[in-house]
Amino acid sequence: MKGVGKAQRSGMWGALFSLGSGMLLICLLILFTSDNPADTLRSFFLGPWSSPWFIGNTLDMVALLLVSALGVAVAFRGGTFNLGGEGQIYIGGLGATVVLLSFPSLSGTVALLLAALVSLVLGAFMGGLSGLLKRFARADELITSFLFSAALTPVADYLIAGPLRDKSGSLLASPRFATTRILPHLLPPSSLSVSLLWAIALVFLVFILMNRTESGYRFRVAGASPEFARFGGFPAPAYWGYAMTASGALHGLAGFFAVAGTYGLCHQGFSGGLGWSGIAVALIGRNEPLALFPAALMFAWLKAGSDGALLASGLQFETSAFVQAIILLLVTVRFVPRLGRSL
Amino acid sequence: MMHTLLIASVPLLLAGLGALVSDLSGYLAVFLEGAMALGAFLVWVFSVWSGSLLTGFLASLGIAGLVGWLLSRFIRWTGANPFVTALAVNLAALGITETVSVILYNTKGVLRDPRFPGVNGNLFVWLAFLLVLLAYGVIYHTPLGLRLRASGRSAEVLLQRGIDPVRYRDGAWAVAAMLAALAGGIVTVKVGAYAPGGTTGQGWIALVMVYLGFRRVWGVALAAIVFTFIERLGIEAQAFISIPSTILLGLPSLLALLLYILSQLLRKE
Repeated sequence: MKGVGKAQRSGMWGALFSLGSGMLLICLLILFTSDNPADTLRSFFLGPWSSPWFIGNTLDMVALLLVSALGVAVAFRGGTFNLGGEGQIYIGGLGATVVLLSFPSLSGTVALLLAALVSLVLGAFMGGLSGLLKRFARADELITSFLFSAALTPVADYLIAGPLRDKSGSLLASPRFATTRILPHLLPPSSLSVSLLWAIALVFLVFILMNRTESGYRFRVAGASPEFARFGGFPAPAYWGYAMTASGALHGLAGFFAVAGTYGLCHQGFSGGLGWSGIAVALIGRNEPLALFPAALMFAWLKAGSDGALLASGLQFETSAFVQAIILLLVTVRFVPRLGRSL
Repeated sequence: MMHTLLIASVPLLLAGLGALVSDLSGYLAVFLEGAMALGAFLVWVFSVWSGSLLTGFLASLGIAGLVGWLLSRFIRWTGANPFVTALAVNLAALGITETVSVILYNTKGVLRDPRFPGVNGNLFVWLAFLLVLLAYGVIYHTPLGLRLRASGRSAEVLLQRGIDPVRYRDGAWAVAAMLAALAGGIVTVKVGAYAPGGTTGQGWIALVMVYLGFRRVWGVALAAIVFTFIERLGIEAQAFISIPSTILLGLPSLLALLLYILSQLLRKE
């Protein structure tokens, strides 16, 4: 037990270190580039919580991050690494869009349920394929999931800019869904919808399945220690398929929540960066479902804050890539190098 | 025909060679995508700035090599996860190229400049050929290459001889990053302008070349040429079957995926 506690403390350390460094980097960028650093810093830290509208948008980001990070965490815990999240979110959202724009005879609730199911199945298929390929073809799921996602993304780009496009608008986007086919919003006119409640429920569901059931125990052991699992009579490769399928399904659902909740339509590249942010959040939370709550909250704060600060100062930086990069770079750090030691 | 094919396959061949070197050290460099993007951008910036392609390439390769080396050292110093940390480079490259482009040129779009020097494509074919020869010689016929291969395949042997196998990753990642940056720079030179996202996906496809080439130097070179050939066929086929050009952008990734699965199925162990 002592060892576990220690591992978790050093894990916490990496998480705090990466978040702190991310915050510091953004602050430095602001200080060096803004004409009015004090105001920009204020909008960075307080902007995301400054009005119901901003709070709603930040919490909506938390919801999307929770679902995609949960997908990443499930894959990690099962001993796999899902790098195709970006495409699974995109294709999942696209599938949901097709459902929400067709079948006019269905009621709103049924259409939404069907859309959620379709996005879930599409994501599960994309992830599951990589899991099965890892098991039966010894193909690295890191590479197959990424390539599968990269191969399908242009197809989605084409469908959104072509057949599905709302010809009357200037955006590369689908028409807006009927009001009955958009998830109920909680803090209108912000983008926050009931997807936050669903996201929280999903996190608890995965937590219970993974930590309070026997198959969940086997799943975790197979992922953490394949040798031990083999001697225990449940070989790890059998769990790779489940891990990647569940991971893909959750990413697909994240796509559904984005189009049916956040945007109310599907625009080209709507998933932009959500998959990578999910990886960052999952790693900050050490792939522990319940730890994803603070991780997603902090990440959303950082992201919304930097977006707002840059908007306020009129600068055009690609902050999300920087925030993701600095967190991925530092989040798995296990110890600080002792300076002066011969390296 | 053969000639254009060779010129077209040079970037993939070089990046694939980089991927192979990293793989031999036991740690596949998943940052090649970022290193290629960085190389494509930096070669443009430095070449326009200095007026010389050679200076542009040398500066870019120097920076990329430093990034690969530092990354590997950083992982050793901090015990961080090599894959996750390497992914950070891909995202950082995206942010850095875009931000610097906005600061220097006020645009996120395509960069054109009449001062950007051009060069005959044959030069790159010869360069690639020489580098393949060099890689072959170093990897299979020098003690350094032997130890590099041992560091990935049987690290215990090196440990017993008092050599830290992980140290070989430092050099391997530096070389991999430099080769990828060279590949990215060549893409820019061939286009004659810097196009953001012009190398998207190629770093990942380069990783696949390691498997398609069965982890051999000549295998990777041949795999890159064959891959480029099939890719061209697919694009030519557009004249007969009407596939929207946007969808065709996914073709290289799909092809790499299928060939990768096939090569893994054929591999005996």
